[in-house]
Amino acid sequence: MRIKGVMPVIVSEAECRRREQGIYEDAGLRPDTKIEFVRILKGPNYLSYYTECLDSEYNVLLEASKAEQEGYDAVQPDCVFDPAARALKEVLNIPVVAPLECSLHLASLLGRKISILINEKEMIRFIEDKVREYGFEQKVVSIKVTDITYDELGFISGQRDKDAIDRKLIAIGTKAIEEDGADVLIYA
Amino acid sequence: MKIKGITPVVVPLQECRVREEGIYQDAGLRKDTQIEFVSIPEGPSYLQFYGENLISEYNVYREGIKAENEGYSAVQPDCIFDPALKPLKEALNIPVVGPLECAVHIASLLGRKFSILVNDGSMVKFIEERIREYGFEKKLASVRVSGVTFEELGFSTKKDNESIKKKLLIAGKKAIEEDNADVIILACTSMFGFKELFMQEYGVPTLEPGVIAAKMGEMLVDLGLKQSKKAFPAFNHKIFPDKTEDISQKENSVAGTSCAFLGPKKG
Repeated sequence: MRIKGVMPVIVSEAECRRREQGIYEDAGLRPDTKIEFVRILKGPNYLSYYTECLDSEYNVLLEASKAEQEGYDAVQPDCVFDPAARALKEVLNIPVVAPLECSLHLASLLGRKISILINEKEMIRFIEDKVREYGFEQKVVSIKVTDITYDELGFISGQRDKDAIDRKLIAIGTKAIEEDGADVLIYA
Repeated sequence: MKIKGITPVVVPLQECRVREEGIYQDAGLRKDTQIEFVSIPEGPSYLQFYGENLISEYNVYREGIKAENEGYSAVQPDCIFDPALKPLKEALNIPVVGPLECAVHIASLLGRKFSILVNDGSMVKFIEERIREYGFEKKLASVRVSGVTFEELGFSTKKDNESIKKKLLIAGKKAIEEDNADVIILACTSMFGFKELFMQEYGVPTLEPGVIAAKMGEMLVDLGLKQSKKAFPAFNHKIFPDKTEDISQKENSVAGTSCAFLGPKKG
């Protein structure tokens, strides 16, 4: 089977390959499952404003809605804001899997209290809105900011600073567990 | 990988084979995934009362906790009431998948409001309580009674799939048209072959919870995930003795002596 991933911002080809590789390994996909990432060709570079998110959603919808015709078996708008997820569920007759929606549901199966770790504080409101929309507000105990930068993630350069990312994640994750009582973490 | 399923009532071997076969086919499990069912060795034959459920949970727990030592990768208490689900999550270090818990989460991913079709009226309260416990009451459109009987389910005889189908269609149609459900959950883990029941006419997916749980078990193992040990910590003392001891036979038996919970001793 083939799954199509669609990037919510304009990134390098290298970032697409890195996501394919990272997902393939961490998810333990079957040998006969392929995941293929494409970038949106127009749209924002960052997602810090509602307007940028709207621009992103529009372009993700245009790109992802081709998936069924292209012969894919499922499509993944690959951003933690789940861009265009519901619109795509209307348009397509193949499964549409949204990262935040799936993570929240899985977290709810694994534990009782969820903390979501995000990169920057501008993202808090988007996550809060989605959590409310999905009806998980009682299970999310906190949304914490890691301050991991786009540079460290290597979106543009393709070079990821894994040590810096790990250090920040552990620092903030520990707080979520010890201070907020979280028993499952979602790294958004 | 091997997944262990446990029936919540005492059933003949034949029913275990029916569940293994049904789940394997409907879930599209991988070639290297095996699902093996055992019946609880003792316990109730029906689950219509809280008391029966309590006895069922106790026996499912005792059978379930062996799974890790037996080399299984995941364990599935295979009843729609998710017997002993949370105790097993504490006791084990492998994923524990509850059919109802998994089904409501998948239903919530696929639609906006789901209806649950139960066999008989006695099941409604158990389902309602679980849904509240899992925090999904706002997404529950209704719990509808289909009237499917134990005889039709054929635990010890032959399943009457045609008759089951007819009853599910009537109850499901009402759930979709009158209660606005957009996903249907079949509340019995012994039902297979009904995934497409409401798809063509209504575009509504039908979830078979035993199937969903097994596939979730396979997925969690693939992802290297299991229940949070902060949420479900393992206790380090023994609460279930290996053999049931009759404490009344013991010297200085506690029976008859006063207990702090009962208040101060009189006189």
